[in-house]
Amino acid sequence: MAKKAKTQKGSNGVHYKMGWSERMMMIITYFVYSIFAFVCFYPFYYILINSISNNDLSARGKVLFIPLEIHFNNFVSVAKINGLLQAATVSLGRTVIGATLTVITAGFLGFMFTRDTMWGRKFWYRFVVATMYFNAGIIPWYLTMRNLHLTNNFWGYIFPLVVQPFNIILCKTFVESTPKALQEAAEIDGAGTLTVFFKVILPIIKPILATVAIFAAVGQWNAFQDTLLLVTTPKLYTLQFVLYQYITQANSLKAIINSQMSTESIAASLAHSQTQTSIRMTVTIVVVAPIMCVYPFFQRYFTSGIMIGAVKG
Amino acid sequence: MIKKKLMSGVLALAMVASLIAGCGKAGGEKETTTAGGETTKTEAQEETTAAEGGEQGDAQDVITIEIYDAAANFHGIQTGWFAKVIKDHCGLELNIIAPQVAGDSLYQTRTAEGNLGDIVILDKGDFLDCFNAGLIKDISAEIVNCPNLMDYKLQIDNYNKGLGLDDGVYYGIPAQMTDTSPVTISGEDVYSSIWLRWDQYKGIGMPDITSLDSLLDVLAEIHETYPTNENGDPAYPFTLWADWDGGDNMIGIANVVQLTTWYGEKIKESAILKPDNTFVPIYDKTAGYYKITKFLNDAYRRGLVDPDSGTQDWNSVMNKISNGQVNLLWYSWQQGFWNSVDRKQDGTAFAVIPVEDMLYYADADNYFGSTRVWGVGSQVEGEKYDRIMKFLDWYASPEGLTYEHCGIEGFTYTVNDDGTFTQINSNALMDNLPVPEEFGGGGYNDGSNQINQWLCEGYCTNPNTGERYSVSYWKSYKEATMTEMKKEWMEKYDAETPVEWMEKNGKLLASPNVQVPLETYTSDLSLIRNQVNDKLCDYTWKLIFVESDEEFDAMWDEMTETLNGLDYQTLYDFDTANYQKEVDAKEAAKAAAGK
Amino acid sequence: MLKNKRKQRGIKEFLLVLPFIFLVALFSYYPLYGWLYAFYDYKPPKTLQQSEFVGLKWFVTIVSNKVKTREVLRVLRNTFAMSGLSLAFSWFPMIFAVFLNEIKCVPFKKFVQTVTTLPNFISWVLVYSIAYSIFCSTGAINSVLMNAGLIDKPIMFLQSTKGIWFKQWLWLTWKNAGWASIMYLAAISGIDEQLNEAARVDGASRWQVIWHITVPSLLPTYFVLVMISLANFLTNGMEQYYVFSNSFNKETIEVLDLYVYNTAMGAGGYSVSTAVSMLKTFVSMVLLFASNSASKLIRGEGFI
Repeated sequence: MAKKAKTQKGSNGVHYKMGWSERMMMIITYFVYSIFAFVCFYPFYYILINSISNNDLSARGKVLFIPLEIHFNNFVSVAKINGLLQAATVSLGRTVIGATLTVITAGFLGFMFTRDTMWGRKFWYRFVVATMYFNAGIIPWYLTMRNLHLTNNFWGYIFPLVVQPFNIILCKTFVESTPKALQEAAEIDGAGTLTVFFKVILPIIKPILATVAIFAAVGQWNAFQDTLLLVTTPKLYTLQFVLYQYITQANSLKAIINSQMSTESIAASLAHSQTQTSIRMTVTIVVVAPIMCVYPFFQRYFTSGIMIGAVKG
Repeated sequence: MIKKKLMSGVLALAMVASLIAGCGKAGGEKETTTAGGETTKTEAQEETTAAEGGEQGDAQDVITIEIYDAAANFHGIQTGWFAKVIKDHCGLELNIIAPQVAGDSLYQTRTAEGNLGDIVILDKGDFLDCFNAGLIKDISAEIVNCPNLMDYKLQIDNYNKGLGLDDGVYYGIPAQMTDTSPVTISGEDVYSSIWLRWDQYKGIGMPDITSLDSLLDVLAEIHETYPTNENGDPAYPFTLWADWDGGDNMIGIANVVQLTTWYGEKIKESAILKPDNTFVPIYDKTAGYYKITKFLNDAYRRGLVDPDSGTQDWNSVMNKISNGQVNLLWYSWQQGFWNSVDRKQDGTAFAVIPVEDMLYYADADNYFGSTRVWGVGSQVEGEKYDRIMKFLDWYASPEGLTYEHCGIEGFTYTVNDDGTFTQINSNALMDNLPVPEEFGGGGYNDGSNQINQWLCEGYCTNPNTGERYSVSYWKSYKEATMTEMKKEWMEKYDAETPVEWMEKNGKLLASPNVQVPLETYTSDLSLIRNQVNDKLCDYTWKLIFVESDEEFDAMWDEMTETLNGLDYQTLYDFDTANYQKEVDAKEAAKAAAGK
Repeated sequence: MLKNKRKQRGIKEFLLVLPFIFLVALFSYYPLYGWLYAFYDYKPPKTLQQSEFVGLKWFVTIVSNKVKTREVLRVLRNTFAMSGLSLAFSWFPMIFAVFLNEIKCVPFKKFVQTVTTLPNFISWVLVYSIAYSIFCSTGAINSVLMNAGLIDKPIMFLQSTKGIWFKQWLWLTWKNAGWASIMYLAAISGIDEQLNEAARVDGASRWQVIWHITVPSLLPTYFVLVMISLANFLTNGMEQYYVFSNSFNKETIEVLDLYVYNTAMGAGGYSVSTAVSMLKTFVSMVLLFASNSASKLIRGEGFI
């Protein structure tokens, strides 16, 4: 709350010179952003209204601006998926634990790799960054995970994703943009490396940590490929995986056709059930809704300007 | 302050955690038990624990087995009524591993590990590879004690001999065997033929169709008379889609390759098998692929092709069919998206309309099995192995087959006085009707058999009823579904079913069923196949939409040249040699049946 | 004495980082033995030991004759076009963030900030089905144009190749710009508020504040991101191009990743995919270090 107030003061308290070019700029800015926001928002709105409209009308492309013959059957059938709650718990667990570890690691390594004193700093930084550009292939990766007993294991979701070079680079760049003097002052006071990190660096790199947190959390929340390959125990299924299964099953008509069990009745059953697109839309809403609920809480880290001078003083 | 301590605590935790992971096997072992609970359950150890089984009192312990199932569209534990059936009869819980859900990588990782699953269901080429790689168990000793499987000894022998095995040695069991014969055609219609709306066909005066050209005339007339559906959405005779191109062991676009069977030509990967059992390249201008592509191009030039054909996917097409925006169907199963009981009653359903100059290619019953094979994983031992063999035998037993094909007694069918069945709750699957608790509860569709693959097909005769397992062959069902429209059809064509009409008029080219283990592509060939198929499909799509004959032929020649540049010949040589074995076997089967 | 202490500190710092290095080595470097597969004719279910050693065969197979070489050149052209466009417009998310930051109406700003991230969460498959329903022959756009009498035959937007690279770039930007701008918003938040205030007190205009304070503060982040994507020049990802490709536009839409997927899919393609991925790694490394050296020459400092 306090931060918000400060922002408003920052914007209203001190006045710019509002020349015609500034006015023009603001008008154009509002205009362009409104259009862009609309273009981004409409497809999502389209998905939303289609997921709650009559599936038949939706499949025929009749639902464009307002929902027609509203029903919630699509969501009810998603809610009825076996083990949905369990899967959501696993997903939440991996998101919270995984993102926390990633954020701390990114912040810490991002800081450490700016330390000129560190032994072999350049080499190790390159050692980490280079991994962004290679991919060993799925078979050795799987065998490695298996040999580490990370298959059918919750930690198999976490450990491989702890060190993420991209996020480390972001943090490092951010730390570099902060005045070196802050660290030096602390060190003259006799602070050790860890103390410098926790006392000096952490408080001022919050915005980038929030960014990394969003990236890492969304990455964990959306991941299902690892479940597919590493997990056979339903206990460890993630929400995305269960929903992915749900979509795939709706998509598997062809195989059903090839299996000869009274094709007529099976095809008919598929024709009457939800269309695959309506399922996809519903699933998209289910997956995105929690993210959209949490995202605004992270946004406050971006809105406030940092008073680095205050930290220094 | 507290926050900072917390932070450093978490940091320390991260480090410790990373160390644990780093410690490798020893550390990991501990992790498995603490974090995953009973997660080691699925490993290939003999284990007989089951938490849920205890509640059933005297019920035997339940073993969870993994089925690597190339046919399944469901990945995970089988639930619902079918799970209860399996649990009660075989003491098993099925954990289905479905590559159709998870993709190729699952096959790669699991074979690299040397353990595909406890039961494996694979396409026959992959099965052959896995058999050669030692991933499949020798089941000779036990299968002979399975009386129900031994009912199909002839078929199973046939398959295993094809693997090059001695008499009495068994590794695989072919899927979907029948008890009819390798030359019988039990189906009522062939996979691909002309289906028109009966009311529309009547509406234009039921003209006889003699050839593809006269078919186009008829379709043009239908299109003119019925340009839209009842809602005013545009309707077209031809609505194409690209999702399935290059599939089903045929290169080229799916909407063309399936239609070559109208003239007795069957595409085998890159080659076309002519009715006289000779092969020609797919781009041969005298063969079916050219003929059908040209046919579709003619249709396009007469304005009969849906303009969205090139960009839509099967889901859109499916919606259009169920919405009445398609006037012509060419797959027998497509009717399911339109032909409801009501529409059959009022005569607005699709029906097969014979074309005079066609020679319909049809595969005979899968007497020796379909293209998939069942086996047991080589690592399976002990109690688990016993139960798996018991399960396989049960799966081929009349009891098992009744569950698989007919459902639950008293819920999806009732038994008549003469022992035959009558269908009830025919919408059980469609509407996912709730199953009574005594049968396992849940929705009927949710709990249906997710293995999605049978050992014996529904054409087999149920010894308890004297009728076939499939509902559509029951006397009671046939009586219940006799409609005015069907009577009209029977009268006009003087036959009960399309297949009967074809047989009577010598328009049916039946291909006997054989079981020949075909080789899979080497990496080289599979690369060539992908590239050739890609180019062929791209060209074919463009060909359908060209505006003149000259353009068509020029583009066709360009395509031929490009395909040859991509080593088409190598692929063609391999395919013809590979499928020649099948052709020879079919000839032998025909000769044997003739005697 | 002092030097020794410094060295000691350096070792201590290294030890703090060591566990993470270990994780990287374990999960990223150790599995690299899998590159061996590129030199074998591997096809599951065989193991590597059972496979035949073929040397560099898979590295040259994709250009082994004229037609194939032509194909590879074609997909490289598309790849260069797409990556080039992305690079040329890589400043877009930054400018997006800068002007978003200038919006003083907080609810509007938050709304824009939130909804522009939404497209990032819509899978490409779904994006295509929405695109199809809008752009197909009976879709909204064609209906409007037909009713207005501007056209008498529906325009086949999705199979035309007119400006296809630009159109694909638009889709990509639509999906990613809002999401990518988060990084710049964070960087903007890191700018010392005192600088802004001092500038305002000195009577600087908005333009001046943006030009002399905001943008320069964002440049380090921008350059790092440009370098990262430059090194990824050959990697466009395949999903977007996969869903939008059809036989009519494949000539111009097929990028390297999609080409490899189309060619090497199925069990037989593992070795080829590995070989291509190795080549791409090599190119990335060269680009990464080249651009780093260039940066050192021009800006006096490198990034890695």
